Amino acid sequence: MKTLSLRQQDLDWRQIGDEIVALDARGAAYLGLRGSGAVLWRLLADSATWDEIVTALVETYEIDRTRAAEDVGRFLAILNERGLLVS
Amino acid sequence: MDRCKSTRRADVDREMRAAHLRTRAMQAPMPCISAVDLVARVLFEEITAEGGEAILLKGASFASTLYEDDEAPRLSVDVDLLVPAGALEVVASVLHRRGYFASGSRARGDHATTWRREGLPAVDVHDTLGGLRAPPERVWKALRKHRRPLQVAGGSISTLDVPALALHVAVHATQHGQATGRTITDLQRALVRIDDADWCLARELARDLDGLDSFATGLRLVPAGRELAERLGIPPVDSAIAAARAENASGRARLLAHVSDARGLSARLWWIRWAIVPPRVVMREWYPDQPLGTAYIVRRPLRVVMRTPRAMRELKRVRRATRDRA
Repeated sequence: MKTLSLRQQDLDWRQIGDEIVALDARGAAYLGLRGSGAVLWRLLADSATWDEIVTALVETYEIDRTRAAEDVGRFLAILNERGLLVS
Repeated sequence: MDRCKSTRRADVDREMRAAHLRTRAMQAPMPCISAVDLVARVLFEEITAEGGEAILLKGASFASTLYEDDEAPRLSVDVDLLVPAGALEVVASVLHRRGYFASGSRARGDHATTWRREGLPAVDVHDTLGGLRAPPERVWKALRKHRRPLQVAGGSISTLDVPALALHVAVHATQHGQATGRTITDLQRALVRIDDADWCLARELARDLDGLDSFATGLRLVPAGRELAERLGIPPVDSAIAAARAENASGRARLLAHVSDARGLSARLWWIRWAIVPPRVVMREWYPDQPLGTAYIVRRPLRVVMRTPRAMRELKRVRRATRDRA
């Protein structure tokens, strides 16, 4: 199964408390994520499959898989649009 | 339906909507963390990991000491690092890897090299503090003993302790003079927030690092600073270069000021020679459209001769202004 992960080059991020702050040098963008966004970001930083990402959301927030999949899809679409995702 | 699960679902919906990526302009700070701070932390960690040393100047250090709990936080648009000579190569390597390049040339008397790359804040790599005449190695050795850790973007970074920061604030004010409102604001805040005991230590540090004239001139830019200088027993100084900087004199007047302040005939001749025949890289910047030969033989000497009288008048004026203010 395809693995998804964050771009390695020109992307720095740090966890600060519950929040992730990231610097995308290519897009000259500075990003902040909290809550489930931060959870998903950390998973992608270590590389994960689609199934693993959705499962993590289901287990962390106790939601049904269909909704989790929709939410993950929206989140990954945003990352992809910004060129932050590789697979 | 399980009300708890329903509530959690709504929370997740709200979270997901709120947790979508927020894009901010590079210079706009997060409420507590800015892009500049994050870059500073990342660079500092990499430099340290490769065995180098650095001290973060200004930025978060000034913000936390002089602007803490303030509704108008101090914003920085670049990262300033003080680096010992032994770590310059490590720092250059880290910056190169991140796509930075050293921009421009360093004129005599410059104390920093600016590194730039598109999409990230610039990084000024200092080997000393402007206004201190001691050799950079001695400056580093002294300031290294005045380090303190500071939490910046969630990580610990070395910055200057309060006495060394006070010294920096004062000499920085001299460097940029009246034209830059922010350096004067930094100075005014430092005068309110830093006590006399720490200013005394700053004075001794200035003396040790041969920067007392720049320190004194900086303090005397504002009334509270003049009062402090009196309390600390620092008389007004008659330094041409400190006056030229404080009054934002032209480059020509500053060169003349260096000649005036130079100690000994050979030092003065060195500056005169630099003024007439600067290094090739500097000439290329100053005369980009001229063949170097023509620039060196004709244009530069002619320019020096023609502009020296005006520069002398300007220097006389700024020295008088500084004396009057003191």
